[in-house]
Amino acid sequence: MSVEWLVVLDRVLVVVFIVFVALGTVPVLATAFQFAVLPLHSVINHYKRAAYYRPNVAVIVPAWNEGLVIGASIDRLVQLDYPQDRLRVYVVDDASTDDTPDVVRAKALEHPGQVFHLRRDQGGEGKAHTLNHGISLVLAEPWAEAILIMDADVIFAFDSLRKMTRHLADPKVGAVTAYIAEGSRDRNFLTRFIAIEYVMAQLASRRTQNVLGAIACLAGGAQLHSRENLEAIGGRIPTGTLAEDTMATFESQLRGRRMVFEPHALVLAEEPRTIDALWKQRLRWARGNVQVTKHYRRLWFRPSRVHRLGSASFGLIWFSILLLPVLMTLAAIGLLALLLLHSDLAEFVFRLMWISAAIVFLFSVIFAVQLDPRTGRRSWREAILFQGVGSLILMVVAVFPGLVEQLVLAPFGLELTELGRVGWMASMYLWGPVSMLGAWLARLVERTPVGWLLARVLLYIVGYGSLLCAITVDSYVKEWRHADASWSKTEKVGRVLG
Amino acid sequence: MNEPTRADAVAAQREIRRDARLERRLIPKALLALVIVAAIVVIRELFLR
Repeated sequence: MSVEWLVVLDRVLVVVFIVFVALGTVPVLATAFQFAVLPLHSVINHYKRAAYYRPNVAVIVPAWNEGLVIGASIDRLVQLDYPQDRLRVYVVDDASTDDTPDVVRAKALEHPGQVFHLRRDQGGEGKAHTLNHGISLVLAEPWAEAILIMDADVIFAFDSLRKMTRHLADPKVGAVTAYIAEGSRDRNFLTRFIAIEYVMAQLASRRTQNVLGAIACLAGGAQLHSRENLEAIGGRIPTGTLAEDTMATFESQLRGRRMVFEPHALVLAEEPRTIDALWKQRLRWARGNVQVTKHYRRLWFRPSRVHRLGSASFGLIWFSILLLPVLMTLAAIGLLALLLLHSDLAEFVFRLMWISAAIVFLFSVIFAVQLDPRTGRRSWREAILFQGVGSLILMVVAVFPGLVEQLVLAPFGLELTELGRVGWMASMYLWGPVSMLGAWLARLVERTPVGWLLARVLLYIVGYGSLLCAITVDSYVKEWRHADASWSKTEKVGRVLG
Repeated sequence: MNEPTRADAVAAQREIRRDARLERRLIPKALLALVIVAAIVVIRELFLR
């Protein structure tokens, strides 16, 4: 091969690998976009069309072995600051084998005509089927004007339902969702991470989605549908995927109805306390998202006059989450290849990538902790360490070049050799995929006798974000292998502070 | 069924206005985050000089 051809090949490879790194920066740009749009919610929101509205609300609570939590949830529902003659609670008991039926029957006797026990003798088909059992009975009668779907363990703030119903005064609105916050009494490191995640994913991201006019998902723990909306989507929650709440959200919007996220309607939920439990829950969600992406494959990036799900902005947000592990791995491959071809260029591209990541991370974290100051005060460490100590070091290396060498090596009179420098850079470039492996390892070691401490240390090093990425990779693998997708319930024991 | 008393409607409207006002605080919150990030960028420039 002639020298000219080698030069051409070199240039082509450089462009290809720079594109790889640029693709790896897309999630950073998507986050920047979301946080740039977020302040617009101060003027572009639904409050102008909200009004006093207290429809008859049928609350559907799916319950399978929820004896420890269902009593408190019902008690709270009947205490809500909402006209009690306009509120009925239907607990759909999915063939529970614990004391759920006894608890619900006792509550039904306590609140006759308001709390109802609906028993399914054959259960285990999943949440959507359980919900549909209740929905079909409720829609068979004309009483219900709105249907609230919730989880058995969540505790609604007293004013949350009326803050949701006020948006249904606008007939264009089909459904409203609330802010689900982590609400355990005894928090641990994982629930604090989840609390920050929910601030980012709901108080920040869903406000942005309100502005953009496309909501990715009505939280399964608190989604209030108008009767017309539920009837328009067939009078049932779509089955067939693991993301029944996302399917219902999409189906509603495809029929031209608007979805609203109400950030001031607070609902507290109990979240997993171990990495293994979180992994199982999020694997179900991630697999559901993969299934939804395939199911609506003709929708993405195809603008429509009826809905905004096909907009480029919504597609950017959706795929930057769904493909995050792929994009991170592409960036690592690109940087490593550039290091072999032109190490100076690799260093420049790396710094550009991580400086932008540092700016966006800092801005988003400072903004997010202000959105829910109570969570911000409790979980500020987890907010700072959301991306992990490893990523923070990379940000410092990119923003302050030479500082780490000065702080770590110079005091001992040491200096990096050329080989050492290449090794140090390669390890930094590979951090994305390595951090996902670290998260996977954290789940493994958690089961060992000293695992709790080790898993905690590992998670702080690799970051909660990498844990979610590792789970997403697992979801790709499980979907590709068509692994068993039977419903696995997250265990709840009643830790939520009422 | 859905006819509110005047007091209910006024209270509901007041609550909506209050929550809409709370949303307007998103702008100063964004500005605060921006100022802190800008301050760090300035510190970086001073450090690298």
